[in-house]
Amino acid sequence: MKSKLSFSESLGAQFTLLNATMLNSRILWSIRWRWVANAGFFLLILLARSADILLDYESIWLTLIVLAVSNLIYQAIYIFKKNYSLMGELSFISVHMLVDVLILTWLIHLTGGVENPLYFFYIFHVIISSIIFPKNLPYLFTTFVFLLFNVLVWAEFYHFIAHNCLYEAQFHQNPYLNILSVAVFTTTVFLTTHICTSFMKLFRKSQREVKQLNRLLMEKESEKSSFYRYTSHELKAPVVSIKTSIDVVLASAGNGLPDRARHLLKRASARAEQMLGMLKELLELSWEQSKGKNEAAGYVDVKELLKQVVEMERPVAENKHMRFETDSDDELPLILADKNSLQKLFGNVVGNAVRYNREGGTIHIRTEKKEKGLAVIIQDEGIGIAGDDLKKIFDPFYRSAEAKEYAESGSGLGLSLVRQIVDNLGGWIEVDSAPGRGSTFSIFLPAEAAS
Amino acid sequence: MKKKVLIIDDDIDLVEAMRMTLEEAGLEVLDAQSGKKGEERALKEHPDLILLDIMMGEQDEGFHVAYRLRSHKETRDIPIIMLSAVGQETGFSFDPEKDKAFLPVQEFIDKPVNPDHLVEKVKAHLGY
Repeated sequence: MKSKLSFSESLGAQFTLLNATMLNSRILWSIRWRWVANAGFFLLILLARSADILLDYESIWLTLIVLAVSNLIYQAIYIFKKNYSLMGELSFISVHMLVDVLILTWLIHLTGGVENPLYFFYIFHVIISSIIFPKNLPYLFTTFVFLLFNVLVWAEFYHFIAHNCLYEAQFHQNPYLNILSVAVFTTTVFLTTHICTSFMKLFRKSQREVKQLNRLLMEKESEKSSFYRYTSHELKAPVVSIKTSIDVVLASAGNGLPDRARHLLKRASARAEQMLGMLKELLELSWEQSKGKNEAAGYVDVKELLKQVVEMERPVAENKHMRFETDSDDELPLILADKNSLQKLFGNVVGNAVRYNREGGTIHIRTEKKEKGLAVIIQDEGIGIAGDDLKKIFDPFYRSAEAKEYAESGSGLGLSLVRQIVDNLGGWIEVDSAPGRGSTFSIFLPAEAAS
Repeated sequence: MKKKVLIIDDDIDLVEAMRMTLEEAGLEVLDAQSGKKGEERALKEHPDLILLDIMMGEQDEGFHVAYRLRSHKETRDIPIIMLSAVGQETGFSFDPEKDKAFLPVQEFIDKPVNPDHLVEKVKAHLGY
C-alpha cells in the first residue's frame, strides 16, 4: 500500500517503534547495564592482578572511575530531567554510545589491545545503534567503531602508542594476526549492521502499514455503524406512519368496525410495534458498537440503578405474581460508565428474567463486591436454556425455540446489546442454566474501565 | 373559539393521522412539511401549541427550529411538544426531565404516538 506521508508522518515513520518514553526507559536500562559492565570489569581486573599479570593498573582504575562517574552523571540527568522529547532523548543516547565505545576502546588498549577478545563487546553497541537510529545512520556509527578499532590495532603495531601485554606472545606484532582480526571484525560489524538495519526497515514498514490499515478499519467501522443508524431510522419512519395511522383509525372508527376487522387491525398495530422494537434495539446496538471501549460519562451507583430497573419491571412481574428478592454487599464500588448503557444492560437482563420466569416465581438479584469491581447475579426460576442454545443466546437475532414459544415478542437483539455493553466496560457475562431449572446470569463489571 | 395546533413534520401520512385525532378532539390543525415553512406559519398564524418532529431533513433540524421559534418575540411563549425518541435517534444521552433547562421545548413524546396519549398531552399544555 503506497500513499504520501506528511512531513511529520514521514519523520515519525522513520522512528517507528521509537518514542521519547520508550527511549527514556532504554536509557535507564543502559545505565543499569553500564553498572553491571563496570562491576564485571572491576572483578576481572582484580583477578588479573591476583594472577600477577602486568598491566597499567592505575590507568585502568582511573578509566573505571571515569566510567562510573559518567554513569552517575547520566543517572542524575535521568532522575532530574522533567521534560523529554524524542530528539533530546536520541541525542542523549547518542552521546552515551559514543562515550561508551571510546571508553571501551581505551580499556581494550589498556588490557592487551588486539590480544584481548574484549573487542567482541563492540557488537552490542553496533546492534543497539542499528535498532535505534533511523535510515542509514547506523552505518555511520559502525564506521566510527571500525575506525576506532583500526586506529587502536595499527597504532600499537607501529608503536605510535605503547602496547600493554596481556600474554607474553606479542601477538600485536604479528601483521597477519592483525590483518585477520581487523578483517573478521570489520566483516562482522558491517554485516551485523546490515542485517539489523534491513530487518528494522522491514519492521518499520510493516508497522506503518499496520497503522494505516488500522486507521482504515476504524473508518470503515464507523461508516458501517452510521450506515446502520441511517438505515434503521429510514426503516423506522414508514413503520411509525403505519402504526400511527392504524391506531388513529382504531381510536376514532374502531367501534364501527366488525370484530374480526378490529382484531386484525390490532394485530397489525402490534406487529408494527414489534418491528419498531427491533429497529430500536438495532439502533441501540449500533450506538454501543460505535461507542467502543472506555467511553464513560460518570460514576454510577449500581445498587441504586438496579432498584430503578426493578421498579420499572415490577408492574409486569406483579401481573404474573412474581416476587423480587434483592440482596447486596455493603460498600459497593461505583462503576465508571454511561448510565443509560448500564440501564439498558440491567433492564434487558432483568426484563428477560421477568419474561421467561414461571408464573408466581421469584427473581433473585444479588450484588457482590469483588476485588476489582462488582458482580451482579440475576437468577430466575423460569423455562431455562438448553445446552446447545447457551452458546448462541448472545448472537444477534438468535432466539431459542422454547423462548419463541414462551414469549412471542422479542427481537433476539437484547442479549447482543447486553454483551456489547459489558464488553465496552471491560467486564464479562456468564450464564448458567438448564431446561426447566431457571437461568442465572452473572455480570462482572470492573470499577475502573480496563485501559 | 377553537384552539390552533401547528404540526411541523415532513411525513405527510403522520400529519394526516394526527390531524384526524386532534380534529376529533375539537382542535383546529395547521401543518407544515419543513422546519422553515413551520417557522413562517407559526409567525403568521400564531398557533396555541406546536407539535415538532425532531428528525426532518438534517439529523436534528427540529432542535434548530425550536431554538429559532424561541428567539422570535411572537412565538417565544408558544408551548412546543417534540416528537421523537431523542436519545435513540441522536445518540445523546440526556434526560428530558432533568435537562429541561437547556432544552427549548416543554415535552417529548416518543414516536409512534398513541392517539389518546397525544390528545391528553396536547390538552394538558393548552390548559384544558
